[in-house]
Amino acid sequence: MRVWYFSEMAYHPAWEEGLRRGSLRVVLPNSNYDPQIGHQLLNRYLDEFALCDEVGLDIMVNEHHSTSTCLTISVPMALAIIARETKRARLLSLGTPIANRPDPVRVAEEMAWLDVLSGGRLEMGLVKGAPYEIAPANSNPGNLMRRYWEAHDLILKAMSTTDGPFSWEGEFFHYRNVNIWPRPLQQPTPPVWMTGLSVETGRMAAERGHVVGTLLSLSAAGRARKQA
Amino acid sequence: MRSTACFSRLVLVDPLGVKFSGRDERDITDMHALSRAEYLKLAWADPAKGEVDFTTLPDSELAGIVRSREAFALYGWKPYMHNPRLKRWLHRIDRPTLLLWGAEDRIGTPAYGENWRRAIPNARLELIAGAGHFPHWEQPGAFVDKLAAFVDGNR
Repeated sequence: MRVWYFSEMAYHPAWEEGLRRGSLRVVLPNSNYDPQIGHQLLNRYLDEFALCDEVGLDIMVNEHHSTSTCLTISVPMALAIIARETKRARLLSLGTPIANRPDPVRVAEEMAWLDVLSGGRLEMGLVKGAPYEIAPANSNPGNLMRRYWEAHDLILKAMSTTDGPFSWEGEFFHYRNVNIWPRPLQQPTPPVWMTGLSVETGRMAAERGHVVGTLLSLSAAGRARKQA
Repeated sequence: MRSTACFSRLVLVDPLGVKFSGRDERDITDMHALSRAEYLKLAWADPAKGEVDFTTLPDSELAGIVRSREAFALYGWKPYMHNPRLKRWLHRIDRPTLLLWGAEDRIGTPAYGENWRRAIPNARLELIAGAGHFPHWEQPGAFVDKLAAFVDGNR
């Protein structure tokens, strides 16, 4: 069994005000964020991740946007620091919200770079993105899943292709020359993780040999049982 | 809008689709950011008239509503409910044009309707009292009267 330490690097000082206004996310103005306190918190959280490595824990990082619950706005930025400050821990990105990212090849580059930097310790989560972050990302919700799968396929192809460049002319993404440098250390790609609550997502992840991250909540379990 | 040859007159009812304001402002209320109750308050003069009891609808009709909502997002998400290239064509509408507008429409307000009127050379804006974004549903009588007067008569 592996144990992963996960922190969203929350800005808890704003929670009381957020709860009073009815939301910790998206619509809570950032006047409720004190950058000086944020400076201390960010460094404290990164120190905690470094400590995990010393005591034998693996590390998980995620990202959210416009929210007091999670100050990690970029998985690659956080993991780049953590990769340099750790030696043994597996580094799980769970993950990059690729249905909200305009440039999947950039995601592939960043993930490959992290894998090389960390000596092949990256676990690569490709997630959809939280529904309430559709608005901050302003990505179209009408075709989110089709866009997710196209980005997913393109990222994995970009990471695993060694005789490029190749071209990509899909429904959502278009590239003339895809030929990423660096390519990942783990071949053909780092282990891929997905998140989901539906049986369908679980099935599609399993067909591809991915790891599924899910929330063991009672309601989700009930839904899954009904669908099964 | 390259040619109006097929038209004799034009009637537009609470239209969206054109942006008049600057990049820091929004002409059209963000319907996707509203709860159902908030939406009804802005889209109807009398929100009660817009209520739909979804629990009584057959699945086929519910599926239609959901698919329409999906299409609405698909085509109107970004840019939000407008085509940036449309405004510059409006001056070419050379037919008598009636803009019918719900006086209490807060999805696209009468002030937004006034921008439409100014952009179309031969246009008139008429407000329908007691109506929001859907005057043909909320005040069908007044709506038909104004429509008929414009289509049948000389303006």
